[in-house]
Amino acid sequence: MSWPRVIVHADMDAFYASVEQLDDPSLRGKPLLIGHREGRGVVLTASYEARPFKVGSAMPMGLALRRCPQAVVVPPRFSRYTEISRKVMDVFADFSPQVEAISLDEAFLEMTGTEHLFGTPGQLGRRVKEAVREATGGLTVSVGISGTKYVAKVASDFRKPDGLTVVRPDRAREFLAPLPVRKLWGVGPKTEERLLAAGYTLVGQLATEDEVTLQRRLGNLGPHLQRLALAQDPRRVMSRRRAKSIGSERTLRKDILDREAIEEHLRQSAESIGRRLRKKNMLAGGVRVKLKTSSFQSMSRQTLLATPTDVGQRLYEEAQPMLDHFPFDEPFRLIGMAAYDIIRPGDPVQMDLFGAQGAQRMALERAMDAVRDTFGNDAVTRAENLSKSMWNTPNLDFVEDAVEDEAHWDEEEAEWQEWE
Amino acid sequence: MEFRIAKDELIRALSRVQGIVEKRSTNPIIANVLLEAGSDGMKVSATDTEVSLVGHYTIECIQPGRLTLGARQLYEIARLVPTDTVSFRLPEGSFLMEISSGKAQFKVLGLAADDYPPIAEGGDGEGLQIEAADLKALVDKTLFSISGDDTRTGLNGAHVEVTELAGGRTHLRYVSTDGHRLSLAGRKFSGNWTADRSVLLPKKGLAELRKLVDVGDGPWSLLLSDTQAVFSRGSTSFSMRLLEGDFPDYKQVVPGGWQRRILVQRAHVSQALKRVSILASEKSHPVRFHISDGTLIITAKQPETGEAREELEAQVEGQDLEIGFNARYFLDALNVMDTDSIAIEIGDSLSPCLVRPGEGEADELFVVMPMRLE
Repeated sequence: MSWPRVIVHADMDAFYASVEQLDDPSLRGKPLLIGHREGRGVVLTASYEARPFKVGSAMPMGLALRRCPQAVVVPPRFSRYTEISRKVMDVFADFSPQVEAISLDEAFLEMTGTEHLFGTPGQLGRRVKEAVREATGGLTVSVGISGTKYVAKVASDFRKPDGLTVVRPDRAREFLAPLPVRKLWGVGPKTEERLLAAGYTLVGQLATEDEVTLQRRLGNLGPHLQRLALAQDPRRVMSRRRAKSIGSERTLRKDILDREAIEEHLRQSAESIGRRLRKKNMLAGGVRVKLKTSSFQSMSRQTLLATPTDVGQRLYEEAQPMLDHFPFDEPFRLIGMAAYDIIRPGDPVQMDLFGAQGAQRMALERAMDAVRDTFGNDAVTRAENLSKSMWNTPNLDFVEDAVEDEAHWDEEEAEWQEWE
Repeated sequence: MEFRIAKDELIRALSRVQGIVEKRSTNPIIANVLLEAGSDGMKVSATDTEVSLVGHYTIECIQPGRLTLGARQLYEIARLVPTDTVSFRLPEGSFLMEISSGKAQFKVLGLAADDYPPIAEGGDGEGLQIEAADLKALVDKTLFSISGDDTRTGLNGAHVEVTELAGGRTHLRYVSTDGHRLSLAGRKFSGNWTADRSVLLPKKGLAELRKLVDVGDGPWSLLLSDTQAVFSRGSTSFSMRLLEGDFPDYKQVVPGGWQRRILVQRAHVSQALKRVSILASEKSHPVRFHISDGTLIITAKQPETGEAREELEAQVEGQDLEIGFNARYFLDALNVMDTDSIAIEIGDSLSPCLVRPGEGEADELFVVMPMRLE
């Protein structure tokens, strides 16, 4: 079936505890309570090793320690969690221009219309999980995928830790039906009591109840919960973040080690990125090159530009020497490039004392844009790019951008299709 | 090799080389200092092959000899030994230096002195005599605007010009720029200089020189060879390798005239900038100058955090104007100036802005390129 919407909910597993175990190997495999031991502290996160002792978040530390006296108490290090969180959010942003971060360790990703980029929802989920593990050095995330935010969220919680649960939209009602009512969004202990008192124990019962009866028994809350129970949740993924990078990467049909061929890919990426920057009147303050080896080792190098630019040729000139810093001892399967430190229209721009030398190039590339806009992408190209046919797989251009909307996403798809 | 040295003298010798030796080099000897004991004292050398320091220190020499030892470790030992005098002894043919102080004993493994990189020293020829205070000022006023990016050939050092003036006087000028702002400072000296010359001095070298100049009195002598600049005073010789690369044509970007001129108290601008920029973006510290008759208003605004505004009394000539700057660039310049008042000379909101002393004849000026703000 085709999915009307694809929404991913990704939730890091025992995030604070896992970060501590990642940083300090001696804590691995041990029951861990993140929080302060003194005073009236509560447990912020309990590691999975501690959970069999019936301790969990928000529990008073004293009680948690009575239940699990052997637990190691570690005070929280929020700056470190924020740092890792940023990496995780950056990974999510590689997948979707619309990422809604709920907290440090949890986010929704709008993935509608990306099947041809990332495959089936199951494949997408595995990619997200792998990318998070790679970016963090081993942290796991539980992923739920469905057609609504609510079902995706329930799904991510379904098989924790390290879970992946895909709920087809037409099966979402079935999936929710056997769950206890406290699993419904917005149902806390008080509401749960009310629901239980009214005779509803399972989500499915709310789904099939007569709407008028529900309204009478529970007030406005009734129909609201019923809509959730019916897997109806029109809320959109709302990202609040601004563009951090504009990138272009492609997975090659055949892994390559030939530097010249890699340079050609970078040159193409640079032009594509330059063109998109110009279209949006943005400038890039930095360039990043990302290569992934045959054995899925991901490496990246980046550099800040002396002067921000939207000229593809300039981006390439910065990217090309960075190849010296990659080990060329294993073939590469993915070649990517991104412009970061994006300056948008309205942002302050530091002007250069010795500027002006870039003006000519800017004019040239803008002229090329105009030709391409009128006659199509093949109408004009650089002589260096004329050599071989090099399009292996679709070029996966991405924009990590909140303000962009679906219209923009369509544009990226169009760009992708040109290379098909 | 065997000698005794006062603890204070040892600390003095080692503290000043800590910024020079390089711990992260692939060549481990670069992390060491070279100790050469002789009847006339001990020579202590340190180098990262670009920047080198050689000093002479008083010891009681029992047996001359040479060895290199880890600079960091030796410094720690020197600082913590319990007695006022420290004894060093290196058995013949050994690399294990025995260091003793009271009841504390160390045996520290060194590397052969012969493997230490050669170091350029003062050599012969007449140098330019520079008072310590002048040298300090020249470095202070230009060090901050050297580009920290080593890939920016030409901008990663200070451009130093020596020019012969009439009447047996010489002019020394330091200029630096990171592409966004530029600093220029000069001093005149009596003494002849045979040929006009300009060189590019590395940032690290100047930063280390700045530390050395702070201690002790008396003029420094500057000698320029084809590859090195050597600053020396007494028995201390500090050399740095000249950087390759062309410094940009800085005279072209120093504005020759102005359309607006603001005369204002340096401290007032400085404090206002510090306060207002609290509300400016942390990345590029953008602030706006609103120039109108009799006032300079500085504002900062960030949609996510809020805004700040401060009004300053100023003498303003020329038309009203709004112009944006990185507050940091302005503050850096104001910090190294000495006068009570400053003059800010502006063309238009897209042209380089000149900051210079508001009074006196100081040979210095600062150029700040504006930011384009919407």
